[in-house]
Amino acid sequence: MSVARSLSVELNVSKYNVSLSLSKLSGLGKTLLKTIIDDVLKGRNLRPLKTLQIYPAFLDLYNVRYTEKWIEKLDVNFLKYHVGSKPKLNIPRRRLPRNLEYLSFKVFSGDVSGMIAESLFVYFLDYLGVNIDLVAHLRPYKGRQAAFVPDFAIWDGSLAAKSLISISNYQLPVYAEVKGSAQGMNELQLERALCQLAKIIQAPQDRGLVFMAYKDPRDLNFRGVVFEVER
Amino acid sequence: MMLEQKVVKKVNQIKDFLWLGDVKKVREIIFDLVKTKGLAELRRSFEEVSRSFKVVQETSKDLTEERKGLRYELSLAKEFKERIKDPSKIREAVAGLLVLDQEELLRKLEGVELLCEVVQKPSYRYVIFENPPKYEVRALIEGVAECNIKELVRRLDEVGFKVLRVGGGRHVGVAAFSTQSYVEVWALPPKVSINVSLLSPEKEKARELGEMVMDALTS
Repeated sequence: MSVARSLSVELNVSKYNVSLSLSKLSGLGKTLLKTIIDDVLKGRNLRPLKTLQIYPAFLDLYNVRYTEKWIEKLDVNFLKYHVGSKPKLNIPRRRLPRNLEYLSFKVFSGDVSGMIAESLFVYFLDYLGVNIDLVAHLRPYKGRQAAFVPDFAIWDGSLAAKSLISISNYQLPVYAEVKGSAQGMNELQLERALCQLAKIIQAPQDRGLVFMAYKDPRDLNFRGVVFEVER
Repeated sequence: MMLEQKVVKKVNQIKDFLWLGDVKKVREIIFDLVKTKGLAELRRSFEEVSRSFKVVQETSKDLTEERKGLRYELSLAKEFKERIKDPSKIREAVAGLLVLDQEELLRKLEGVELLCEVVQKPSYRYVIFENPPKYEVRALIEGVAECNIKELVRRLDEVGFKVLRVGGGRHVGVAAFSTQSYVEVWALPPKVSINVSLLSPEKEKARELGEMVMDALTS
């Protein structure tokens, strides 16, 4: 078995203790989002949900069904992003004029980070016991006639029992927006995710989830955090 | 089961068969899906919601200078809510757009032939992609929620493979070495991906190994 495929990586997923209310956020805006991100990065207000044993090869199989773009060898990409090894470029010996620098490292791709995060999200749901046959990926339609939809809609009624949703009488489907980053996380990413959910979470019983997969700056491990979103 | 749930299940099934390359089966599922009662209502809801959203987007351009950010999106959402009085319309619209997309897929598949032969067995179907000396067998299991990993390990051991097993529960991963070949199996029902490397490349040998793995997993 290739080394990359046989390795397993732990992914700690936590839930932010406070539901994010869109109506309250409209007044407080960026300051509150900053506080929330600060909380997450410092490990405050977080409740551990699950530690997943991720076998990267399975990410390929989730990727095929649940993400907009099919990235071959997502398993290898995931491990590279996890370790943080950016492809290094050869640099000519000749000196460059002042104020110019050679491009010595390729940056990580936001697209690949996004597909890793979406695959991890479904891996996580599957691991929790959510019926993933009832999870629909909606992303391909966002750009066309349906800019009001987020990444996922989940029609499984067991999300409250799995501690993902805090009320039992929530309305199906639950919408989810996923963000991934090979660096830390910031309030802008959370804001973008909330923007995508804002249009579709209309009724008091509607619920949304934001799942962010990010590299924790403290130990450089991938982590997942779930936010519950309400009107 | 709710109509929306039926739609989502079918859509995921379609994606699995697309992975296999079985366009004939994809067409069958879509034909079956579009015959489902109640879909017209979902399509209508999508048209209505989509139209309203476009109007809201257009009118909001004149109302605010700020065109992005949470505050703008929330004002957009407020306008949107005023136009769509019944929130169930949005839920229906989401399922409706999934249906419309499958119909579009059906049009795109017009005239598309099978990429490779799909072999049908009683409890699974599979295809083989050749890249000698490597072969990829993609299989879809029918009606089995979990794979029989013990039987797979036993069978591989019986025919002289050294076996390494990873994963657990629904996630099954097995790697096996012999003097002539190397096999890697990744199963997440209903999908199974089998990668075979052969010292002397032969499609028939890859087929034999693939079927042995699948027969064991589904036994």
